[in-house]
Amino acid sequence: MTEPLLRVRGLDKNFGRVAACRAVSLDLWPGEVLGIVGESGSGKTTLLRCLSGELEPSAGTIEFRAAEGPFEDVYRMGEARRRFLMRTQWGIVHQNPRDGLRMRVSAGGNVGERLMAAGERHYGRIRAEAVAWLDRVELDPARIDDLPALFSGGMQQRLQIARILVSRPRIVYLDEPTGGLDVSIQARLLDLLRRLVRDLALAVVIVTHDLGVARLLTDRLMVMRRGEVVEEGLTDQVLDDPHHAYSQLLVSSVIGA
Amino acid sequence: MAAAIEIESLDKSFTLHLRGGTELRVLSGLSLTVERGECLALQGASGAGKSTILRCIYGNYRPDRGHLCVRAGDEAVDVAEAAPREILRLRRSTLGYVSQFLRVVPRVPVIELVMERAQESGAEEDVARARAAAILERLRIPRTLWGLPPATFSGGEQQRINVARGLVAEQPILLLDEPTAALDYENRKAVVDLVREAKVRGATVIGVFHDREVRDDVADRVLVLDKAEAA
Repeated sequence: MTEPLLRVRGLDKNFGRVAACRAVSLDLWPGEVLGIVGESGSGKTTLLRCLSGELEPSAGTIEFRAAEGPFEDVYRMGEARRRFLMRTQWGIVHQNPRDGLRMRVSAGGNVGERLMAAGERHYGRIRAEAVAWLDRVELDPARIDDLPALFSGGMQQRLQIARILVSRPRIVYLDEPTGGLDVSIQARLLDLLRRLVRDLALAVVIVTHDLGVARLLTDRLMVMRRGEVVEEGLTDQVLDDPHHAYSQLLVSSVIGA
Repeated sequence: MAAAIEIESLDKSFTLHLRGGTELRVLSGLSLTVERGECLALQGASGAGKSTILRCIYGNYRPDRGHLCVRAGDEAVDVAEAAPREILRLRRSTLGYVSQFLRVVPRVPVIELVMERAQESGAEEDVARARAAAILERLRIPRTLWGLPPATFSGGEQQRINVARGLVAEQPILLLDEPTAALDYENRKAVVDLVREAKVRGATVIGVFHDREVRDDVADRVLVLDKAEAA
């Protein structure tokens, strides 16, 4: 616990003349849940995509440290190495499950894919692991051969989570995981995420515009506005004693969070 | 540092940017020492800064200036300067806090809400379960409710679950923000007994106690905050 898992310094991401992220720096430690909040267009999702290896930043460094290893720059390590880490050490749960699942492959196939990518070839073992993880995210293992399209939105979200966790990653990136779900399904997903974080000692970066979700799930919060981090700190401190005008506006605009 | 808590020249104000930058000064130059094993009651009118002091110690409010040293084992941590993860560690190891409102993940049963606080502080699952059961019993929460989420519970029941969560990990320093508000006589007595037992095992307590009887029962010393000192 002496060094972070992820170290980000001076990250910029520009789309043409638009600066989506500006001078973002952060450390993420094992077992820590970091929330990124801010309104639509504040650069939250762009930042998450940069961190997760999907989108190369315009400037700055993102360094990941594999177990006991040195820090490695995610975008200077070479394609093969990055692909390998993306399939084994971290994963991203997309806001739209269609971006994170293979819709033409069965639920079990979706979960097994990352195991195969990590070198597992034994069909029986892959299937057994898939069953175990479906069960763990509260999906009925009897539906292992169903296509994701036959699942509800909340179930697809959980299938994405199972698909990533099966490879025992150290970081999970979540993009608005409760967006678009019914309130009762949201609560169930929150409970599940909390237990997984605790039991697996995962580090998590979660992008959300829901401050209630942020309060219940995260240890630490970064508030983004127009690509910049305007305030950060302990989650309850930022929510109960926001210092920046924009954080105060966000907190005061919420109904009962 | 021998004392449990040493507060030195603490200033805390709130700048309301949405109200034209209005500044509310709540604490100004507050210095305060609480010895180990002592129970200090904070008293004063509404708005005098009682809860603000507790929240500053817990790291929930960020002071403008000053030092706020909390003794954790052999070291002293200045909450005013500590990084978020140090504060989280301090909370787990050292600071128990009972807030005025229960805020929890929906759908989670009462017993688990209480257990998780003990587990966060390092207790194994079975130990945590036993401790949670014991404290819920003491707080007179009927067994039939333990498996239910507290969303539909009465105000008094929710408050007692909050108390259970704050006390179950038996941290050496307890911050109690009106732990007996909304409680009837029997339940108030149950809370008072738990606080007294915490003192017997050596815990330091800082609390806001609405109820004079409760205050007389548990406090060794009363600090009266008035506007002269606080504003």
